[in-house]
Amino acid sequence: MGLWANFKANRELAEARRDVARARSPYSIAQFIDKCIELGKLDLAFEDAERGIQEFPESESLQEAYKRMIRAKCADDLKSYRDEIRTSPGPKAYYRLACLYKEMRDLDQAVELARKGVEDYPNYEGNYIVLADLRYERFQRDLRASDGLEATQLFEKAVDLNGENYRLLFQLAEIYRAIGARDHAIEKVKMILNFAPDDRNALNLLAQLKEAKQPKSNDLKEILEDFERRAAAGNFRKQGRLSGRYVANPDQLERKLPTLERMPGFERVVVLGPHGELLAAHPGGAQRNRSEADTLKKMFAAAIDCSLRMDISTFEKGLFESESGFTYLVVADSLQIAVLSSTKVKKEKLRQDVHRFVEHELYI
Amino acid sequence: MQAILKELNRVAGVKGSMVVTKDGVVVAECLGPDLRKEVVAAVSSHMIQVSGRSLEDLGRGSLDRVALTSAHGRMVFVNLDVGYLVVITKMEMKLGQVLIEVESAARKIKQLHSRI
Repeated sequence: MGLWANFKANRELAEARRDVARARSPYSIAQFIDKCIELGKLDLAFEDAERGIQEFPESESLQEAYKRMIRAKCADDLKSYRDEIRTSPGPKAYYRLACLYKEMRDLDQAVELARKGVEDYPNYEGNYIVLADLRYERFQRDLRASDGLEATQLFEKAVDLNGENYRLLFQLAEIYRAIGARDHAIEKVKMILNFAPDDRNALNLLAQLKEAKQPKSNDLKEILEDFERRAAAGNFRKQGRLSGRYVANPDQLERKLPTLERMPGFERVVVLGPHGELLAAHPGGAQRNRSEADTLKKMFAAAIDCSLRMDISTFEKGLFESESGFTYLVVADSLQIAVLSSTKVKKEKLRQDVHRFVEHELYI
Repeated sequence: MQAILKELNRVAGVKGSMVVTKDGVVVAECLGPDLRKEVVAAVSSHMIQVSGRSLEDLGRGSLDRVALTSAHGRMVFVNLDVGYLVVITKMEMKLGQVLIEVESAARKIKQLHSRI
């Protein structure tokens, strides 16, 4: 980059950084990351993306910006790993490319490659670990027993293939401990101690496990189903920054809602809390939108249930088109936001405006 | 109808498709290995019934189309008058692309039905 181009890029970056400082939100940080990518400042993008995701882990804008940044950063690796699969395929080639796609959050591709790796090279543990990691990630988000069971089965398969993989055994022991499968966890820690008898971490974990409560059953499926039941009762879900703030202060939320009036065709917005309780609405306020809120709660419940049962994981958003307009449902950090509009607005514009409202207005 | 669904399923990222009535009766289906016919029919029928009733209660008229986006995939429901076309896709497919393919299949099914 020449001197003048460098100066111009730095000036643009400084301006973008000032925008973030003026109103720090996932949306403004994502815009800054995109600017860094555009100007080829990938290290800077990486730093900000990491910081942003730590600060706003539930943000969609930041997840998407992170994906774009990783894609830009890994473009060369991607090309060489793809070439490797074409020219000299092997279990590790599939593993490396699957891991890269996982890092890039292209999960469909990661699963496809790891599955192919498992099919063609069933005696290599790496591809089982990728599949298990992805399933476990989903289990952590959706807290469904079936995901937990599949993840642990895949991890166990990897352990069968290599019983001295320290990281794998430790991770599996931690997973078992987290879901309350004490004896399963102890078994894995003992496997570690067989080849690393003085390992301090393993010894500490074993001591903690021995003090833990014995579960009612030792059957993993039953333990996971019990875990799912407790999760459904809301025992494990952490409240994020956004829902924490507005559940405690619904009045503050109600004051934000009129900003949506700027959207063409806007008719109504109703916001429900993590358990479907009515928090705020506009126009008319919460009290005058009770019956609409009850109806929208049913729509959210159906969409959430549909997504989980169809194995496409947590419901994020849905656009319902009917004769008199659009009903757009969005879940953001457990807040359930429904925006009703006429058909005057273009669907893409509706999506963009609601996205900006959620990712910017609600955070500042 | 089966041929239309088969063609739709050839599009990269489509996991399966089905034509189902509001009551959950399967008219035609072409589902990938990860999807079970009874589950898709039951879940879709529930989704269609609840959405339809809710939209009517909200005074928004009858349901035309629904596009759901979840963390690991998408689902689209299109009203065909005789039933609903339900399509399940992977996340790699962009929503715009999904809708073009689904609408094209829905049009063909409607034309087919009008000829019968």
